[in-house]
Amino acid sequence: MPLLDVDNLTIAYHTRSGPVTAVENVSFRLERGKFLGIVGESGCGKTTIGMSLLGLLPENGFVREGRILFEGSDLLALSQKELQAFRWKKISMIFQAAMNALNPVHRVGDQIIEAIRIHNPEFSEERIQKEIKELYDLVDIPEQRIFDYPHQYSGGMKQRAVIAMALSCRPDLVIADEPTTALDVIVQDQIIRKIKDIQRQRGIAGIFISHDIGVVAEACQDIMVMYRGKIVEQGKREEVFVAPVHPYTIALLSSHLTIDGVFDFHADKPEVACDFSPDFFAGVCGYAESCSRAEAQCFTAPPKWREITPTHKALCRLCGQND
Amino acid sequence: MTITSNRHAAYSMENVIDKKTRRSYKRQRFSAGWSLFYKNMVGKIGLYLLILFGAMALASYIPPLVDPMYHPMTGVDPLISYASPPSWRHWLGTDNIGRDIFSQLLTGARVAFLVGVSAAFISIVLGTLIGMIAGYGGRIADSLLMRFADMIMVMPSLLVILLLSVLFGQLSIWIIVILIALFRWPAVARVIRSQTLTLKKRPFVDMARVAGASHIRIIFRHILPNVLPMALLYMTFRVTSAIIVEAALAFLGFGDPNTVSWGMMLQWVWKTGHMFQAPYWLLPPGICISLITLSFYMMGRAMEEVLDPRLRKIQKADYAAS
Amino acid sequence: MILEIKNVVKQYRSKPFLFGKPDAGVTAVDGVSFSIEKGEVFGLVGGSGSGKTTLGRLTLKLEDFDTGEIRFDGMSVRDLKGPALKAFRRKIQLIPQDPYQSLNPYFSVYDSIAEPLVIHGIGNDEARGDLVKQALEMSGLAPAASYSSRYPHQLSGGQRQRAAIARAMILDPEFVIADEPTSMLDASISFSIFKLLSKIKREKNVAFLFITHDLAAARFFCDRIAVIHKGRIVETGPTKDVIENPKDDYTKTLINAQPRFSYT
Repeated sequence: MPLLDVDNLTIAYHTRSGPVTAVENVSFRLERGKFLGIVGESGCGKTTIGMSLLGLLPENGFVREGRILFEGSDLLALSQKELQAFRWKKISMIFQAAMNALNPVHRVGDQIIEAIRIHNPEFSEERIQKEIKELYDLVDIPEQRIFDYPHQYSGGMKQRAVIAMALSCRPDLVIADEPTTALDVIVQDQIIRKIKDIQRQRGIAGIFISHDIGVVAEACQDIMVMYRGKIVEQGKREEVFVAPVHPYTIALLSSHLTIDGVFDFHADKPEVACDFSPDFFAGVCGYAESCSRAEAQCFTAPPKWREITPTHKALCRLCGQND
Repeated sequence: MTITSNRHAAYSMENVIDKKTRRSYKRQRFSAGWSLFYKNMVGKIGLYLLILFGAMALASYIPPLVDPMYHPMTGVDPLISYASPPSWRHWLGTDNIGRDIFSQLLTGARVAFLVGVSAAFISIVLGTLIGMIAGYGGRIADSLLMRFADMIMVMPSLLVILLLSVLFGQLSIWIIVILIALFRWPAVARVIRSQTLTLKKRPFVDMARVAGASHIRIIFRHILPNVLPMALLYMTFRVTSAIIVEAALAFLGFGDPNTVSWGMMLQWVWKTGHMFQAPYWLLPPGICISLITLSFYMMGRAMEEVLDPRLRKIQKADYAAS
Repeated sequence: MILEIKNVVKQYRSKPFLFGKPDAGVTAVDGVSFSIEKGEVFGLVGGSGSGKTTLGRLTLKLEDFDTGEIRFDGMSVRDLKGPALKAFRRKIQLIPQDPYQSLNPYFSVYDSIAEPLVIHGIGNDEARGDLVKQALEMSGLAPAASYSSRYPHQLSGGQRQRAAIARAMILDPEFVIADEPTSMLDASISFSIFKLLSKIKREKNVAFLFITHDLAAARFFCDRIAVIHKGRIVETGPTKDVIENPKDDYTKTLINAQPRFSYT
């Protein structure tokens, strides 16, 4: 049984001009100890997915359809109270603006202890002390800094403290939403290494949400590319990044600058198109208008899932036809 | 030749579109704000009250036309020379020399608007200007202006105005308005200054400097439109305090004796010893002072909610989605 | 040579008014020297807090520096005043980091872009209209008429940045400072912004000082780069040489920290 099984998830928001679909028919599975990367541009719905897994959708957001099974139990069927017990202990989150996730008037250590205590009321004082030392050890912050205030930490240390907090209750799944966006390249590199280390040591699974392909490629084994609320391509890292098939993925990859000058993957590089059409939910392929390979039928019929390998598939009627 | 004229035609049409869209954009923004305001119960009540007082102020011109004896200041009922309770002839009764209380009350509304709005307007103009200069100008201008503002802020304004009127005799209503304004700008200046300080650090101000804009241009073209909503909000609160100060002055006997204000009416009640004998004389001006200040205050609170999204309750969800 | 920076030092310290002592302060820029040729793209690469943005602000005379010299077109930037300063402002422009904050929310796109023309008294209304239209179309906001009347909040991030570029280019500057122009944008949009900047460089022969934390972007766009760390330049050279054969330890760390598709 996979750790997380998301099936046909559709999420919408109520707005003044009626409901707006943010995520449509998203399905994926995550095994224990694996990291899944969700890549996409801003507004593609990747953060919404993360929020829905924690039951933290904004007031006007709602799940229209689908199931989220965590260890076989349906998260959507849980009450708010049951969810609260679930959150942090089983699934925790590293937020986008991690700098602001720490309360400036409390010591960092106290905030983490608070989190442990709320979710594990049976823990003794010594046990909690032991836990927090272990956590600080894990994220490489010296023990004597445990009871400093957030402003005494550097940006990278704050980020690591937030990671420690997310791990404080030994969750099985961590959702990291743009955990390195505001950080320096060097600090970002440290954080990614740390996350990979922790994954290895504790065997936790993770979902890594980012707009930065490079970051996701380093940290995750499985990749999901999203465009306008839909998954357009998913597969193993080696498959999606080395041999991408969906024209959007190819466009995304060829607009990604790397230090070696060009990004190397095996596909004909089409001209990059970035102005996307607004009516993706009209049924036909929303990328067709921007797509350099689109054929007449792309504009008239909905796109289809094509399987390239058992683990690699793309939502495009043209992909995989050459094989 | 034709090509250039075509081009100009194209451009001038663009410009027309530009102005029209801008107007429609402004209207759109106004109507969005208005609908938020109107959803707010407090704001709605405040607005209705204010419309009522506005109608009273306008109606104050009518009674003297009906009969000179209804003139609030000089009109005396030839048949009555004592304080009389409400009757058909005098809806709210008369004061001790036979003047009509209802027409005095209407005139009082006019004076309250006059005093409140003009004093608030002057203090807002002063406060906004000084606040922007203090916030935008360097450290020295800031320190000097703000210390000056602090000095005025800690002065007991009522006491100082009382002293001035003792020194110079009776003050006219316009002098009182100006004095109130002079004492009430510092709070506005503080708020505008802190807004200006944050606006000054916004990149678009840097961009204006890089483009070569003068300080005057930056202050008036770039910063002023951004602080104006806040200044207007503060104006409603200033109106409230100006009306109260004027009423207090008048009640203490330092008002303009040639003006019928609600504070003045209260002073007459008290001075002639009718405080507990003639509730029909005492209560209307008292209630009016409370209600008009309350209504401006409620309007201000509702406007605050329109301007500051953090104060909104209902609309939060909409913003999260967008 | 269009820009020459010699031994520039900038310290920030809190200067109290009347009372109290100044504190030790922070040295943001610590003796930086480099020069930029006409039409050259020079990259200044460094992490956050390295002083790279401060250096840009000093060059634009948005702030004053303590010691050293900055010469633009032979003139000392420090001494610029009055008409000379205004003439300087015509020749050097800024493409800002944050497109969400760099346009006045109360200005329409047309007003924002035309503002430099108004300030410098260039042309009448009609001529300005033409120039704005050209600038918009050059920046990829075509048809110009449909964008010129919009307000910043009606534009996407990429469109705002294009408007900011149009505004910077409308005075036909000789030198443009681009301060992390794409750090707030999605990858594919930032790629198209880089393509636009490259086009401008080619067609107008403008020199750029490109401030970035992203070596990959610098590699794409710059002729030469300088790596700045803690207010000092640790390495300068042609982009390719610096990235492929780094000499300095910090440069090496920076290069190794770049995300790689290593799959290990």
